[in-house]
Amino acid sequence: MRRLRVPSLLLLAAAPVAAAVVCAVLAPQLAPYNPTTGDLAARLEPPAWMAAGSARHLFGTDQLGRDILSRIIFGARVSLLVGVVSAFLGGTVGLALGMLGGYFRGRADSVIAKLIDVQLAFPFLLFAITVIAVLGPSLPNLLVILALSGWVTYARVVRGQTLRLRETEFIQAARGLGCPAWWILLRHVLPNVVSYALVIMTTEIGRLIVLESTLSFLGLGVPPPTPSWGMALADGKEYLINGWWLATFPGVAIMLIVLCMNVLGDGARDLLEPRLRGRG
Amino acid sequence: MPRLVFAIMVTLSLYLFGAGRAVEPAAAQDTLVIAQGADITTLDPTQATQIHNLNLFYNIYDALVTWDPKDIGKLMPELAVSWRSIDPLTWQFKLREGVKFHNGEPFNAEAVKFTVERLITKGVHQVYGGFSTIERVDIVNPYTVNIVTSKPDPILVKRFAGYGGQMLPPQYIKQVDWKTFAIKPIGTGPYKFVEWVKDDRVVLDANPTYWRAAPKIKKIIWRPIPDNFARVAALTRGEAQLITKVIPDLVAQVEKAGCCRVEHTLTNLVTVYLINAQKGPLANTKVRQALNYAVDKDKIIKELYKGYAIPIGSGIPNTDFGYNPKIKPYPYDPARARQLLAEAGYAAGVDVDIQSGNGIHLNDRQLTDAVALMLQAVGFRPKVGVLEPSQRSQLLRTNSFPGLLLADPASTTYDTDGVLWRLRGPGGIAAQLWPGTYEGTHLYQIMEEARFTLDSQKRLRNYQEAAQIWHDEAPELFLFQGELIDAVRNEVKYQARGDQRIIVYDISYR
Amino acid sequence: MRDFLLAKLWHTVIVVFCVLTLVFVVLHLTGDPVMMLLPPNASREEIDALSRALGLDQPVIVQYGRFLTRVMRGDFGVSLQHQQPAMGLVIERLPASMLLATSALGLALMVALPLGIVAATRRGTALDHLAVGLAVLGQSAPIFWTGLMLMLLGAVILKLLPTSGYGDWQHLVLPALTLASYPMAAMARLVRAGMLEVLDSDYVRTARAKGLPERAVVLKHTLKNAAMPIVTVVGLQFGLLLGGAIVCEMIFSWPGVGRLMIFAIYNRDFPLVEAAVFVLAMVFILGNVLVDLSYAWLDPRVKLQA
Repeated sequence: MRRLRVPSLLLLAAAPVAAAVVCAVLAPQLAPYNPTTGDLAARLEPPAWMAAGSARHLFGTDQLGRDILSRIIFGARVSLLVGVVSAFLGGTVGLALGMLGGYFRGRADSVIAKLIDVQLAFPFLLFAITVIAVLGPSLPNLLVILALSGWVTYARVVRGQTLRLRETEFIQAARGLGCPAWWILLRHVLPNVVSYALVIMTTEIGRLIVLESTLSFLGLGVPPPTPSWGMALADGKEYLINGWWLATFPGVAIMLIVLCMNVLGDGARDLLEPRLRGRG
Repeated sequence: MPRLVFAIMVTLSLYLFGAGRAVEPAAAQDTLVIAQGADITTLDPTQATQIHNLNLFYNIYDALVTWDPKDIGKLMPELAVSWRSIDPLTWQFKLREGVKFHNGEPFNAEAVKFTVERLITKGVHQVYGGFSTIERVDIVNPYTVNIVTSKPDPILVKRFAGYGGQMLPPQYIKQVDWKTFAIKPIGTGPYKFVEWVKDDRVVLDANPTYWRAAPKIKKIIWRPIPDNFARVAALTRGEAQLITKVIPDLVAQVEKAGCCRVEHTLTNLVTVYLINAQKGPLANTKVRQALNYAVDKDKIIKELYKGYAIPIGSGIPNTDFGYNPKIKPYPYDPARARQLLAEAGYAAGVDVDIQSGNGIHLNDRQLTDAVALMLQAVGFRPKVGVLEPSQRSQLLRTNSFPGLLLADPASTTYDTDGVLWRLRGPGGIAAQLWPGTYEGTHLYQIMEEARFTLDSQKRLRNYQEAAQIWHDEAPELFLFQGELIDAVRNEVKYQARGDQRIIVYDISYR
Repeated sequence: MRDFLLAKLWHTVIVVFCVLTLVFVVLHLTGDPVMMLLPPNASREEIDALSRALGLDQPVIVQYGRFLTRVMRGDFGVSLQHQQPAMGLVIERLPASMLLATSALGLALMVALPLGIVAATRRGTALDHLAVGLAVLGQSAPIFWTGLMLMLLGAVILKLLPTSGYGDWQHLVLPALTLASYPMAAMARLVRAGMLEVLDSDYVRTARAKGLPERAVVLKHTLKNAAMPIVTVVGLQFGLLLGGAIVCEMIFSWPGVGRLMIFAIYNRDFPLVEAAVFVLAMVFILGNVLVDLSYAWLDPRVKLQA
């Protein structure tokens, strides 16, 4: 049994992610204030260590007088939810379609390839605006939009891997033995491709959290007053000079999580690689 | 390998830093660069009504009359030197002689007839509504026209100061077609069209044979810069000398830069939340009054708008004919609000939807968030919605938004008829919202009376009475009358106009 | 080769047809452009008159049929906002978008190549992590943020470059850098991964054993092999960047297709959206085909499969 040495870098990367999860789960206990209420008279107060700041608000207040630290802590909920759930949804769809296309080839693959191209050629923003316009701006709709933005990445990679796997001896053997396709897919293909999907998922989570911010900038994000890092960053862009703390703290949070997810993803792939190479 | 990379980086840096000296454009004292928040969509004055389009029209074209900059709401002659009503249905205009269009074509009664006939053609442009009372134009002589209306219209002359009133060149348009005219316009105004690179710039050159003297600024470059911060940055860096729509929170940035100042003035735009009072809790007057008592307007003006607004008590701004100075804004009184809600039977709270666009109006999202918080504090359960422009338009036109919708009605004729009855009267888009404006009500009667009489004393009395009714019944959540905030470099002499127009003819360098 | 091209053509036709149908459906689901074209005080009859003039009062199926027949003739109609031919408006903006996309990709490659090579050749060391970290940094902030930060730094604080607009090469720097931040990360990692895979192979071990200098090994042999995935990404990104530069174009007032399209979407300017989507889709697909063709050139072993 090979000893897996987990490098210290991975542990270092896991720490902020864990902290974010803790914030998300324990937000009501951790946050000093209610993130949705604020006093207009206290708007745009700087962080505590600055001259005009006070200990009441460690990270200062935003444009409506709401405490920024509380909004960051509660914001972890939405941002992580959005990232993880959308990545997972997208991953499931992409995994399924990639496997089907790669295994069955021919007609199915051709259709899926066209689906992929149509998705990529179709402007994502038009699609996002439509869903919001027709179904209304809500968190579930946002999740669907984000999930659909990323399934293609999984599908392509999984398809490629499935194509390779298809030609291996044990799958040829299984087919020769008359095993049904769905059994082969579930028992032999899926376990081998799922790790690729998982690796992609880690980077996707980061990308989706960032995409949520861009959608907020365009007015298509999480409906107010729910706090999210992405929305806070988009709001803060008007105050770059006289209110830098509005955007800086959510921005740092996003950057940190994305970086860490990337490191974790790379680490996971490095760990899985020798195992995968052996089988491939 | 690393050495190669290093070499590339060094070369790049030298190129960028060495070749790129500080990019301050040579601020030629006869060129003015104006940055607005959006690009224009057309140069045909009958096809657009947004201010960033209109600003170009006011410089390329002239109208029969315009607003006096020192007393907005008062008419000043432009291409018409005088006018009078010769019978209840007919207005006679005497035209200015010796005026030529940019292509040499003469301006005369033919041009007026051609323009007005276009204006009253339905379905081909956007400004029909402002001129629908006109029936025909009669030419008396080359410099006198009679404009005949179907019913007495007391504000007919004012209509020509608003959008669509620009005079068009008949010979030129008959030569080219309307589509070409929209991208290569010809007018009688102080500036001639040179070029339009879409989404990048529009260039206008001074008209040396303008009927007033030649303009001081020789060239105008209009640039669209949608992002608020980028627009202010362009000003402070000298890339633009005048910018429009500065948000209140960025005013400090402009002033701190030292190079520039803010020019602001009260406009005739009132910011209110329209209320869909057809059914449900909002149909109850007490609930609507509670809404008005719950909002601390002074705080919002002070904090969110940095003092650049005044609170209003009724939906009519103080610039418009018919304004009633005796009406005071609802005071901030949360206790009274809660009491009213209880009286209406909603002591346990009531759900209310409150929606706005995102960037359509100044600080709209922030305002809605702040107002929602205030409503929550007195027992409402607000649900905030952010709408995208087309959705908002749709909900507004079909009068089907669920609760409150942010809007900034204004009258282009500086008249209560425009700001109130054009929206709520027959054919208006907000006609369904509140039963108090339906046919058969007292309000309907006095508004229609005022609309079709030439007796200005009677009109004043009716409008002031209407304003009181409007205040008492609270069919809107009244907020404030806003200011326009522009910013300009210190070397430019410029004053903001209450009608939001940028008339470059009146601008110059010190 | 001929079979390949024919199959690709068929594929393209189907994809474009699906995209156009999707756009049509999506647009008509979202609302009525007449609402956006007329001022707030327009009466019911004005609205109806304009609707009729634009052919928007017909049942949707009829409109769809008309739309398809027009498109097959190459006629995308007249923009509702601008009153000018829709396709003409899009084509006008295309050069600016292309300039931005190519510059961004070029910049991304220029940074990604050295970063990826350094990371691969010094695998596992701090330098590797630093290089990858730097690349990923570009992906960890939304584009509008990167753009505003660069504008703040480059134009406002350092006063080296103009804040926005379209003019000489100086106006191109900030938007291109901003747009490059995303593909830079993807490319850097691809370069790294591609090189890692090849650096370990027998092929390279033989070259090393033969005593060839390290630089020759790295550059000549591995790069060419890692080229294929990079070319794929470049081809894919180009098409995506054309339409995806919307935020960048808005921040820097760059007159490109993305900005045109998003304002057309906001205003439900159906013909303009349809024209823009068509053009973007065509460019994207063309890019893909070129990428496929380049595979054959890069690696003669690859046979172009239909």
